[in-house]
Amino acid sequence: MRGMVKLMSVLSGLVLWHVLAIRVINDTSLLISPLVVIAKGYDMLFVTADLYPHLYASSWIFLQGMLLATVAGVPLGFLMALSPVVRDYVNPWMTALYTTPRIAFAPVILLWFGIDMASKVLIVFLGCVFPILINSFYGMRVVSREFVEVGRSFRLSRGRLFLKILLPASVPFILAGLRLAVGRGLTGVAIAEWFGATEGLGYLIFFAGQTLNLPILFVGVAVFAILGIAGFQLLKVIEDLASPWRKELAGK
Amino acid sequence: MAAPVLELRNLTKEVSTGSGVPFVIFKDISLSVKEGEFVSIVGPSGCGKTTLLRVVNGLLPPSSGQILIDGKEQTGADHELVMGFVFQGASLLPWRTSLKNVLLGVEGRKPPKEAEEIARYYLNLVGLSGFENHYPHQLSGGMQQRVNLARALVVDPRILLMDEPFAALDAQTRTFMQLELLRIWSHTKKTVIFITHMISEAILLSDRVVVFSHRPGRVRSEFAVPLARPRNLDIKSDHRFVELENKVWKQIEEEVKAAAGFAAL
Amino acid sequence: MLRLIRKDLSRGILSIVVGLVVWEILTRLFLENELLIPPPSSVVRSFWKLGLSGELNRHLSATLFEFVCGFSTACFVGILLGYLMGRHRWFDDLMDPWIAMLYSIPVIAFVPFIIIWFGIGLLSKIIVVFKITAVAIMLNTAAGIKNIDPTWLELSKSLRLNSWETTFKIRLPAAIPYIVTGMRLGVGRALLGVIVAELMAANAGLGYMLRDASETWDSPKLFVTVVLLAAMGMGSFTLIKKAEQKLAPWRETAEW
Repeated sequence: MRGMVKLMSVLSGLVLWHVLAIRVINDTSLLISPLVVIAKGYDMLFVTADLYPHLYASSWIFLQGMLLATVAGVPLGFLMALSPVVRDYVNPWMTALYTTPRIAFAPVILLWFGIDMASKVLIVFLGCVFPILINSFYGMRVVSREFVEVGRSFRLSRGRLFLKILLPASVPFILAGLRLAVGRGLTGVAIAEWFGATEGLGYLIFFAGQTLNLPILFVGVAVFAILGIAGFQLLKVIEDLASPWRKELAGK
Repeated sequence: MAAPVLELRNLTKEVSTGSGVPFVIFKDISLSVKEGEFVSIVGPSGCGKTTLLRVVNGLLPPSSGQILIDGKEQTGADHELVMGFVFQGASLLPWRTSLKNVLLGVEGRKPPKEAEEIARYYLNLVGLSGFENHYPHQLSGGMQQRVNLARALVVDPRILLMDEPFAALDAQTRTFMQLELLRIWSHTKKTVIFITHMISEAILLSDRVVVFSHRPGRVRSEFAVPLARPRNLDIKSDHRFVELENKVWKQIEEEVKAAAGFAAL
Repeated sequence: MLRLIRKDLSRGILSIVVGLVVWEILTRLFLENELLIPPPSSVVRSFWKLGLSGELNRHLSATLFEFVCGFSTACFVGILLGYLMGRHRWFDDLMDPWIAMLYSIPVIAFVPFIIIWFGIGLLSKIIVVFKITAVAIMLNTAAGIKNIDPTWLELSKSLRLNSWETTFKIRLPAAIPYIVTGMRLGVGRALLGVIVAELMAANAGLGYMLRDASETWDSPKLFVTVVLLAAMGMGSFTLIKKAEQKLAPWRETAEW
C-alpha cells in the first residue's frame, strides 16, 4: 500500500512535469519534458555510448577520493579518539576545513596542483574524509569506553584488544560514515570537474549548463541522482550484513 | 450509603490478532472503590493491570463492560478530567521546568495566577519547593516521580491512578517515596488505585489489596488491610502484616506457576 | 574542570598560532612566487585594503543576505512540511521519492537550472539556499515528530489536552532537538550552495569575489575570501551548536 502511494506520487509528478513542459511553458530553453530526457538518456547510453567515458572518468575520480579518504580518515579518527592530545591539536584545523564550503578551496587547489587528476581527487578527498573521520572518531570513542574494561578483565594486550574487540565494534560507525561520505563525494566530483575538465559527469553538466543544452543537463543530473541513491543503498546493504543486530534494535 | 466513587462492571479488554482469535488481556473485572480508599492491585507480570488502569483512565476503550464514576456511566474516551494518572517512567517533558510541568494540567483551564499558585502548592506538598525552576534532567529519579505526582494532583482529581510509580527507583529511594506517599495521601485523602509488583509496598500503603490472576486477568481475591493509620515502617514487623504478605505471595506464586506454560513473563 | 577547558583550548590556539607562524616563515624564505601562497601578512594587508574600499562589505553583505533569507524561509517551510509528513503517513509517502531525489542531486547540478529560471540576481541564490536547507529540516522534523516518546502522548491524552495544545505544547517542543540537528546538517551544504551559485553567475557576493580573485590572479584577495568563507562556515556552525545546547539542554550535543 505504501509502495503504491510512492509509485503514484512519482508517476503523477512525472505527468505533471510533462504537462508543464509541453503545455504551460512552451519554451525548451526553460523546461523540457521527461520524455525528452529519457530519450536522450537512452540515446547516450545505448546508441552513441556518449555517456560511458564521462561515467568512467567521474567514477574513477570518485573511487580514488573515497579510498584515500578512508585510508586517511579511519586511522586518524581512531587516533583522535584514543589520544586527547592529538585531538586537541588537530581539532581547530579540522573544524575550519570541515565547515568551510569546499568550493572555496577549489581555486587554491587548482593554483597549486593544476588541472590534472591530483587536484580533482584532492577535492573529492576533502569532501569524503570528514564524515569518515568524524564517524570513526565517535565510533572508536563509544566503543573504547564500553569495551576497555571488558578487555582488561580478560587481560588482553592492547594490540589484541584493538584488533579483536575495538576494531570490529567500530565497523558499523565507519560504514555510517562511508554512507555520509558518498553524498559529499559526489558533490566533490561535480565541483572538481567544473574547472578545466574535459570529461566527466560534472563537466557534462557544466557544459550543458553553459550551452543551455537542457536534455544533456537533465540526463547528467539524473545519472547523478541515480548514482547517489544506488551508492547509498549499497552501503546500507553492506551495513546490514556487517551488523545484523542493529536491524533488530532499529525495529523497536 | 453513597455510591462508590468508582465502579467497574464486567470490564473486558481484548485485542484482535491476525489469526482471528482475540487476545484477551483482562476479563470480567468487577471492582468497587469507595471514596478516599487506597486500593492496590498486585499480580503476575503481563496480567493486564497496567492496561486496566489505562482503560479506566480513558486512554484505551474497553471491549465490553461498564465504568461508573459516582454512579454515572462513562462512555467513550472523553471522560471529563476526573482522574490523575501517575506514569511509571519519567514522563516529564524535558523542555519544561518542574513548575511548568506541573502547570501543564491547569494552564489552559484556570487563569494564570491561580494556576501558578495551585502548581506551587502541590510542588510544595510533595516536598519540592525550591526546585520549581529545575529541569527534569537536573532532578533525581525520586524527585522526578514527585513532580509526576504533583502534576497528577494539580487537576484535583476524584481518583488517582498510579502505575507502578516507584518501580524504576532504587530500593532506598523507593522506601522513602512510599513514606512520602503516605504523608501526601493523608493530606489529600484521594481515592487511589495503585499498581505494584511489590507486595509489601501494596500492604504498607493500602486499605485493600486486590490480587489479579495471570492472563487473561481476573480478580482472584481481595484482602482488606487491617492495620491502623497513620502508618510507618514499624508495621512491617507486625504479625498481621507478615501473615497477609505470605497469603498474597502464595496466591501470586500459584498464578505465576499456572502461567508458566504460557509465553514468557 | 576549568583546567581541562583551558588545556584543550590552549592546545588548539597553540596549534593555530604555530601553523600561522610556520606558514609565514616558509613562504617568506622559500617561495619565490608570492602568487602561489601569499604569506599571512600580505593576506592581512589585502583584507585591510578591501575593508577600506567597501568592496568587502558589499560582497559579504550580499552573501549574508541571500543566506539568511533562504535559511529562514526554509526553516519555516521545512518545519511545516516536516510536521505534516510526520503526522500523516500518506503525505510522507507522497513526498518521500521526491525528497530522496532532491537530496541525491548534488548542489552543483541543479544550480545551473535555477539560474536559467531565476536569473543571476539575489533571488536565485536565495532559492538555492532554500532548497538545500528545506530538505534537511523537513526530514529531521518529520523524524522528530515520528519518534516522539509515546509516553508524552499518553500524558496529553491523560490530561485531556485538545489537539491544538498537544501539537504546540508536546509534539513541536519534542521535535526541536531534531529540527536543530537538521539546521546543523543543512547549514554547511547551504553555504556551499550559495557560493557555487555566486561562482556561476552573479555580480556580488563572496563567490563572485572568489572568481574575481582567481581570474585576476590576486592571491592575497583569494585567501581573504577563503578565510572569510571559513569564518562564515565556522560561525554559522558554532551558532547552531550553541542554539542546540540552549534549546535542548537535556541532550548530549555532537561535537561537530
